[in-house]
Amino acid sequence: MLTLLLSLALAAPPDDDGTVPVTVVVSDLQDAPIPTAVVRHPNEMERHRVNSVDGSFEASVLYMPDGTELRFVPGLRLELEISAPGYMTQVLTYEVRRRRNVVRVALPAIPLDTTEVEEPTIGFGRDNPREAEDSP
Amino acid sequence: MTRRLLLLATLAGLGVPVALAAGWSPWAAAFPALPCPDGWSACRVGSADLNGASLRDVAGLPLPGDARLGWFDLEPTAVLSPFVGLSEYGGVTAAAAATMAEPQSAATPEMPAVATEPVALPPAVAVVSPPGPVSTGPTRPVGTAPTPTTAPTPTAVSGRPVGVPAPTPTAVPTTAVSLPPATTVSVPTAPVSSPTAPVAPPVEAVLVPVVAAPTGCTDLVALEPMAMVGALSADTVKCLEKRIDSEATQTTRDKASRVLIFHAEAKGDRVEWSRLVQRHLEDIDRSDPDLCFKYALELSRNGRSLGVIRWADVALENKHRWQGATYKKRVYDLHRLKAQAANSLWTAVAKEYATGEHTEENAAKAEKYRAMTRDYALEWLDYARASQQDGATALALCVSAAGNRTFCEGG
Repeated sequence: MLTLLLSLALAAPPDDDGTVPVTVVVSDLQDAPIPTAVVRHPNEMERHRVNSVDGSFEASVLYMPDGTELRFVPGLRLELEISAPGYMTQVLTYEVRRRRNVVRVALPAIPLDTTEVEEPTIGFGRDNPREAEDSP
Repeated sequence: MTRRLLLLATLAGLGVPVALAAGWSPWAAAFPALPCPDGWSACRVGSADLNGASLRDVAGLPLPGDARLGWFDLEPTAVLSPFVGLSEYGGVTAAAAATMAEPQSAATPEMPAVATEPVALPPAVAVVSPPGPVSTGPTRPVGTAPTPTTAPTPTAVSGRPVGVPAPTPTAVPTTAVSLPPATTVSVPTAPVSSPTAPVAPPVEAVLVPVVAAPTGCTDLVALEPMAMVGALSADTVKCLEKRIDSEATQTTRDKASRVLIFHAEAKGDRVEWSRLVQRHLEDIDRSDPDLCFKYALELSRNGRSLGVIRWADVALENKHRWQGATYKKRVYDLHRLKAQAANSLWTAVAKEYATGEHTEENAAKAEKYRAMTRDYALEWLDYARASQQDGATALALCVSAAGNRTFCEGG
């Protein structure tokens, strides 16, 4: 599936309006796709989910909040934020070419470990020494 | 060349005596002569052999042979517990008992079996060892009785001291034997004035436990040592449970509950510990931020993220009870626990939405938990900045949830 997708992307020529598709493939450091990853332009409000099977996202145009279109034409310097729950967010800057616009992004996991959290010591609920407590 | 040889010879001549001058004294503290809790030179407590060799803590780090607590983890070692019975002594005890019996024999019948003053014996004393073992119960030392004598030097079997092995007529200096009040040793008075005295009947030692476990659950302070080693009896636990249910005063319920919590933790029963702490926090008292923190940490290890957030918030409500570095560390860790718990929720629901049920409900949940993660991570980051602690992970989590670096950095 991934091979087919990549081959299609590699072969994708510019459309009639001059835009070219850009494919972003998000994976972890073990090269496993991250199904929960999202791709977003910094000025965009919407977060685009990747394909949950292969972790890919493909587009040739993005719609900005002010109604303008960001068309992916060769020579455009495209900036994208790629994030996923539990992974470090990465900002990608990519110059769109005429073809072969496949960008692979590997996200490192955020080190979330509670083993180094020091456990507090619990007391018996006595604030005073026993002698003071026992005395009338 | 000759100069070099002379220099090397001089250095060697100076260095060797210095090296040889180092004696045993620097190592005496690391290898104590009497490491056992009751003053023996070797014993077995539970499954641990105490014989003066260095101990190992849970992490495998060496400790002195008589260390009661681990230096690094403060966990009790086998030396700490005086409540564990000693191992059965399988060696010959007759000679040892005879040595103990000597000063007793010298005492008058009216006197108790405790000789506090040295009593001079006639020069020629026949000490006859009774045949067979003399003690049927667990061997327990009766005071400390170093016996300087001209008889053969006592030897050690399995690390335990053994008394005079042979009934040799000899001048035996008397010794002072101090017995604990709860220990009674009945020793028949053997005639010792003549070398041809008849053989003494067997010595019978009656040993009574010196330390008795407290019964009932009235004195909570007396139960604390037993609770700390997880040695409360089932009856005591039941008694404490009843007391928690029936006690009128909240402070007493609090203390009784804490004794049970300590007991469960010392036994390593995490499920029971969690149940007790949850009951304590829900029904008795939740003003102890340490207990809330510890419970939140336990829930975090068990993957119960909503509980983590709840009890971390309760702990933060009482954070004013901490001070200084403890305050900084605890508050930082609580923010961290909250943010990580929210992130776990967000990750789980986002994965469910992406790969499983692609429903509106899951989408809404994912958005909700993402917002929680973003907010908690930002709180964590803000506190890390304010307290000058590491905020790299908090920033990464915040950016991951917000999807916008400026949102987190601009705060």
